[in-house]
Amino acid sequence: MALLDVKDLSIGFHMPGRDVQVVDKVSFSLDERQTMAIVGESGSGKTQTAFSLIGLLAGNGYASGSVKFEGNEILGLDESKLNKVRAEQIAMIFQDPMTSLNPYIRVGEQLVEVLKLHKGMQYAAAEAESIRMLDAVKLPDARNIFSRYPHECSGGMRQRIMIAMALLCRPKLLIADEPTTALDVTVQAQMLELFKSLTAEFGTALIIITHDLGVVAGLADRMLVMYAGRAVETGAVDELFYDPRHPYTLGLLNSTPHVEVRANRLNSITGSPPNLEHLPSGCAFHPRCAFRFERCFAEVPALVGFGDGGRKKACHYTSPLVAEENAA
Amino acid sequence: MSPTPGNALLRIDNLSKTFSVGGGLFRKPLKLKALQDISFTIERGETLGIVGESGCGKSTLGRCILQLLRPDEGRVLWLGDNLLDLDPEEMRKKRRDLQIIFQDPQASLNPRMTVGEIVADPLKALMPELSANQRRQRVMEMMEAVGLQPEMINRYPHEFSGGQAQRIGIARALITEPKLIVCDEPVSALDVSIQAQILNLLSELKDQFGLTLVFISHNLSVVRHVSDRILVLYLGRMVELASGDDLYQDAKHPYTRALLTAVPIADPKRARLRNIDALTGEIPSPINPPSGCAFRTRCRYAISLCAEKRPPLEPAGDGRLVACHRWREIDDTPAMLEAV
Repeated sequence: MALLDVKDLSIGFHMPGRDVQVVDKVSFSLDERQTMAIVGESGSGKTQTAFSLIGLLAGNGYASGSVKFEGNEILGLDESKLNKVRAEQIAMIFQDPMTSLNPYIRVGEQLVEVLKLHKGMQYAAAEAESIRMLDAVKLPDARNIFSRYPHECSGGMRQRIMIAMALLCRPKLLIADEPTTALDVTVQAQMLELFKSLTAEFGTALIIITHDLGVVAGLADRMLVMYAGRAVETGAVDELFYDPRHPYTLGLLNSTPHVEVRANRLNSITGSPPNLEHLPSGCAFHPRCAFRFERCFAEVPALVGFGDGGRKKACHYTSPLVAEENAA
Repeated sequence: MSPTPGNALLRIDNLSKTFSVGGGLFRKPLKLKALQDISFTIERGETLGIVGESGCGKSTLGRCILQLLRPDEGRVLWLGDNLLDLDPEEMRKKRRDLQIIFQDPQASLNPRMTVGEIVADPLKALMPELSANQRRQRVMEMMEAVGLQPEMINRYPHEFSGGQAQRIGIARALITEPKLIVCDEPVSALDVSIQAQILNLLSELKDQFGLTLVFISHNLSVVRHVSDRILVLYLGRMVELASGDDLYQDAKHPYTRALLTAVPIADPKRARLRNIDALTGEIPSPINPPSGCAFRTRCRYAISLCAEKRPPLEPAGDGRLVACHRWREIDDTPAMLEAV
């Protein structure tokens, strides 16, 4: 049984005078100890997808479909039950480590509170466990950090503290929303190494939300590519990188500059992502797609499995992509 | 247009810039040395990339080049004239030649002005001799050149996506036919697919208009893609300057090497094989930088000399410059990049 099984997840927001759908029937599953990356550009719905898994949508948001964690439905649970799931089974790390910690409370108190609340620990035991976890995320002098205020820690340290806090209750799944985007590249490299070693050490499954294909390549086993609120391709990371079958996945790969080679031109995707309130007909990617044909204008492609290894794509075009691109 | 050696458009000599931070009625402000002793030249037609992590002074340097910030020491020689000696009126005349593109395309456009007004604004200020018709003609041509439909001339910035807004910013920078454009993180706020479009556009425009570019970014892959030569800064000092190929194939400074190995590789098999030699620690505070070599606190090659004496910026062959006491020894050890 999969650790997490998401079926037909749709998310919308009530706006004044209208509803806006931001995620449209996304399905994916994740096994224990697996790392999956959700990749997409702004407005693709990747962050809202992750937020909805643990009931963190904004007040005017609503989700439908099914999210099963270890076989139990967790979508639409009431707040008290969700609070048990959060932290104890699924924990989340947010993009901005500066704003995710309470500036008025010492780091240690914020960690101890989690253990007291969720594990019913006494202060002394909770303190010891918190310091152990600060140690595990490789913060130097954990005891000292324990008694600091967040503003006395650097950005990288704060992100480590957030990771320590998320792992305190040993959740089975960790969701990280752009956890390294705000960090400098040398600190980002440390953080990615840390994610790798911690998920192995604690046996935690990880969903990492990112727009950076470099981060995906170094960290994830599987990936889900989203465009305009829909899943367009999913499968093992190697298969998607070396044999992309959706034109958008191919376009993203071609748009990424590589540090080792200086190409004359990047094969960028033309146009820009659509306005979610006025999605193009049929496949939402068709206005930017080099492989489109009549069917793409009329019919939304379903996410269909092919090959083995659980690969799926949502594209009407069936021939190999690369040959066609060269011909064009 | 490829760079022409020995044809310096801009020369920076021993430039330093210090900011005062904090301080109050009875408290002395602290000194933040944002840039110290920066010297380099920019050849006509080249793209010089400036990379470094937050607080390294890369944006301050861009602003000092354009005299948007006044350096405390040093000279900025534009075709032989020291821009620091010019009076405001003389400097205003030079601004036609020196333009900038900002990071956040939406925030750098006045929301109350139409695209036409925004793009025409530098013309009004810097080329008042043009008639309204000539201005409008130029604006339309420039919009076309950056890939915007000229019919959009009467629209407002909020009607545009981030990528289009950046095209407007580029049109505004290009309209006075400048010789040099400082691009300060021009694609950092954009999505990957749009980022690639803007990078392609910049390289086309560079050829078309014979531009010289200073390209500032924290993203090494992006800088590598656009730059002929790359300047690496750390805590306000130059650590290495070399051609893009030399830098990426054979970085001399330990910091440059560490930066390069830290860049995520968008290739799963090679990413797995790679031996990430992540730097420990974070950038020290520029208010109280380490003695000697500022990088020594994170450098695996640091010796006692590094704490005592600041390494001079030395020529390292092929026009390269390196500031490290031990670059010759390190150079002989296998490059960390070989694992890549």
